[in-house]
Amino acid sequence: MLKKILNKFLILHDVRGVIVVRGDGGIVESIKSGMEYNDAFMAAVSTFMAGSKATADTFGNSPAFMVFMEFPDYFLLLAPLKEEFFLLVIAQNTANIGQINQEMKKNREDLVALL
Amino acid sequence: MKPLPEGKSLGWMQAPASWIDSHTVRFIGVVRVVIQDGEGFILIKKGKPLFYYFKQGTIELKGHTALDYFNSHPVIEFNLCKYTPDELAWAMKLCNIEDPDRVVPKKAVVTGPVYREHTPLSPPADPPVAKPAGEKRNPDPVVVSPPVPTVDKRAAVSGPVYREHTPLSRPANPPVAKPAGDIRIPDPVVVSPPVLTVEQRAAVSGPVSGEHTPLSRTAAPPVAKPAGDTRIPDPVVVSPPVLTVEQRAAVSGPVSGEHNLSSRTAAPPVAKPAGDTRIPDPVMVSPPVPKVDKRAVVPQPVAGDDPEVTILSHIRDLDGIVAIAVFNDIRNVIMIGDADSEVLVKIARTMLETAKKITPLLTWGPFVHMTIQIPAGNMIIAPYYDNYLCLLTTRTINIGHIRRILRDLQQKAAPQRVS
Repeated sequence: MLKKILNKFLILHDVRGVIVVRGDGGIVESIKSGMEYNDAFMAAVSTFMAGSKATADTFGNSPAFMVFMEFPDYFLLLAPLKEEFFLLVIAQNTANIGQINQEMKKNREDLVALL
Repeated sequence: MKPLPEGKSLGWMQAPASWIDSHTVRFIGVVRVVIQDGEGFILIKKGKPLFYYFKQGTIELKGHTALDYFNSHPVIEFNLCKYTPDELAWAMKLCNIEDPDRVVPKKAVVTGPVYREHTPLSPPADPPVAKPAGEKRNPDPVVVSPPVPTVDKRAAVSGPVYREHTPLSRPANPPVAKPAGDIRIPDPVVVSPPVLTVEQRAAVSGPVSGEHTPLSRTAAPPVAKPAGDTRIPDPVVVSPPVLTVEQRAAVSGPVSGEHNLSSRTAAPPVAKPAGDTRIPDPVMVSPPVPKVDKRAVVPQPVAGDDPEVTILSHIRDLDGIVAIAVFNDIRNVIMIGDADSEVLVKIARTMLETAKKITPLLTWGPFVHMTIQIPAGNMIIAPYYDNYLCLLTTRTINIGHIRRILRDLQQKAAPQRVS
């Protein structure tokens, strides 16, 4: 069921991967298209998660926030789902961020319900 | 006294005074300077400083004395205010100076007493302000050397070095500077400079470790007394300042922490009332000559890169931009806008560390930019020349627009730090 929802993101134009990740960097569920989740990549995800969390802690008790990190061809979009769970979207720069955000809004409740 | 035209504010910044000189090649306007409780300005036309002024309490500094005072601070807080040609003309009129481009021919011969720092293009300095006899509206003008801080070696120095000024005491009977050949005026008496000592140097933050080479200046030029003018009292001649800022050890941390940009209100400094012919003209100044060899804070990023100011100002002017910071691993280079810059940059550095760790793990090329949605709005971090640019925006800003601007910036700035 979780994969089914994640697939709604993956079918968006130029989205290459979607991962539900814990605050400690652990992977809950992931799907991909046209890319590999090798060890280096998973280490990067874990680091990204930890760094974002450390930044969020700077703000004390404020809710977790979205982080968008862009590279020449790809970007990472990390959005909070609930407490310790986050959604990470990996997409090419040509992907429509607004569309991804919209899909997040539409599916957040369903995702949270499954976690 | 009429204030200078307000101009269009491009935002508050914190940088060494020499940064202003090297980054205003095409800037026309006034740079309003705030140092502690004093305020001043530098009138600039396309990189050419036309007039320096600073006032703190009853102390007025003009020309090179003001410039030296600005330079004596590792970092000063200032606001660039752009002028239209009309505003510049009005400001120059208020300062009672003429456009040097029109009036002064190249390599003009400067006659009379000359500052050593004067470039040949500079017109001879007008006599410092002297108060006409019986003039009660204005306090007695005093030509003074810049406050002379004496900071000796102390550990753990952090913060603005020049905190407390001992008040300048003016001589009761100011001596007269006698122009050559003028037998009507008695010989001048040179008064030794008031030496301001800095007390309470503990708990200063910021990189102040640069070694100041003592500024050696020629004495202030003798003041010419207008012939036959018996109303004007004898001006004061003050001997050169003695800067004794010596090695300040064990200093670390950014400078900007002690400043609160949002708390500043930059009232324009006083200018000579239009049409008041009793007050002598202000001093024309030549372009600044950086005197300090080593500074803890170095002007960044590219010397003479005037478009940088324009770009940052352009970004700052966009709707939704709250603050801009340029920083690197060590310090904050520039701060513009209303935000707690320390917190802003601290967060930015944390995320930047993350980006630096991730980048080698991924095979996607260098880090281009990052946006973090924080409670206050969006924080955008991107490489910017050899430093990093951090923008704090409101929630309502068009991120796409910011990304386009950043992309343009990064295309201009070839080297990327994170790769």
